[in-house]
Parts: sequence; C-alpha cells; structure tokens
Amino acid sequence: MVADFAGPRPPGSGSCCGSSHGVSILDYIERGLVRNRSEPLPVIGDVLRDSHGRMAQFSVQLDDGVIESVSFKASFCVTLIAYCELLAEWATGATLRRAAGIRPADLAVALTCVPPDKRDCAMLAKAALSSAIQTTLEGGST
Amino acid sequence: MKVAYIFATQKHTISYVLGRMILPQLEEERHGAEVVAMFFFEDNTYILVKGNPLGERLYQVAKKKGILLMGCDQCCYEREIADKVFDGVSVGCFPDLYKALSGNVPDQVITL
Repeated sequence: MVADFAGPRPPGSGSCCGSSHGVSILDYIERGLVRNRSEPLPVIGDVLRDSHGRMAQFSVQLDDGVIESVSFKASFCVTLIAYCELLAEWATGATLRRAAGIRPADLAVALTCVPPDKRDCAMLAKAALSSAIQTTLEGGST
Repeated sequence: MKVAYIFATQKHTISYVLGRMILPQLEEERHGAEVVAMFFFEDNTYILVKGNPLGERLYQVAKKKGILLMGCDQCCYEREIADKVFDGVSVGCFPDLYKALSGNVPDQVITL
C-alpha cells in the first residue's frame, strides 16, 4: 500500500500532477535531478535499460539492515527520474525487506498525472532498486 | 522532402503559423512537404489537450498522415496536462523525439 511508504499526508491535493500526499511531480523531478548527480554509494546495483533506451542504476548505503541513504543514476527521461526519486525517498530509512516490497504500482498510484505510456518507467526504477537490494543480500559492494 | 516542426516560441506560433498556414495546407494537401513530426514546447503544448478545437483538427490530420505529435514532458507536467493529451500523443524529451523519428528521419527540422 502506498500509505506504508508515503508517511503523513499533508492536506490539499487533487491536481492531476499532485501525488497521493499532495506533492507535485515537479518536486520529485527537481529533487531527482539533484540526487541523479550525487556520488554512488557503496552498494551498487546493475545498470538496467528498457526498450526505450532509458537507463537506471541505484546504489545504497546500509546501516544495520536499514537503508541509510540512496543514490541513483538515471537517464534520460524526467518521468523516470521522478519515479527514481520517489522510490529513493520511500526506501530511505526502510529495511531491505520493506524497500523490496515497494511495487511499481505504488509508484504509479503516487504520481497520478503520468501518462499511460510513461508508467513503465516505474517498473524500470523498481527493478534498478531491486538490483541494488539483491547486491546487498549477496554481500557485494559493486 | 520530409520536415519536422519544433514549436518553441510563443508569439502567434500556434494560432497563426500553425493554425492559419501549416494546418490548412496539410488539410488541403498543399503544404509542399511531408511533415513527419511536430514537437511542442511551453504553452504551445496546450494544443495537444483533448478538447482544444485547433488541436482536434491537428490530431485528425496527424492521424491521417502519420505525423508524430509530441509535447515537452516537463512543459506538460508544469501545466498539469500530461495526462490530458489526445490519445496516442506522447510527451517526452529530445531523446524520445529522436528515437521516435529514427525510422522516419526528416530532411529538415524547422524551429518556429
């Protein structure tokens, strides 16, 4: 469920580009573009690409089984970057199990204004995070 | 000759250049070039919203002639119209446009 990851919901929403908790996709794009330029963290997942040429790669830093911080590299689509940022924010502070439980559908529900032909970006974002999580489970660092 | 139009400026680009020149010429088969794509920036993206009268004409011509219509994704998100565009019209950025055009490459790209 989205509420498991979204935290408290401030009042006010309803625009087509508002998320389920009242934040515009533009905010995620803006923050995502910043995070997209950040340095990779110690545990790095695979570079994943979709059939449209979009690319995403997540890296995470763990502290006692909890995801302490998240970084990603994604190109070139701002919708993908928004999904990656949303996922990064939800995963930060979550256990590996909980982060692994985030579904692409949760992301799609949160950013309702994304047109149908762009919603597959959520699947790529989630798959890239899952790769980083899998790397941690295998004890790898790169 | 194949051409692609990029509607980047916001003067009378849509209402005049597209609405009174390009679109009627396309409708009347007298444009003189094969238009393969139109890409819209900023407020020009409003023409892609369902219910826009000029957009409806453009949409019909585009469907008939196989013209790719695409709006700048960030422009559409800013205006909260990304999920309100005509069916089959996509929003994206330059890489999306280039990929979409890779199978039908224009000879000229004209920025208006």
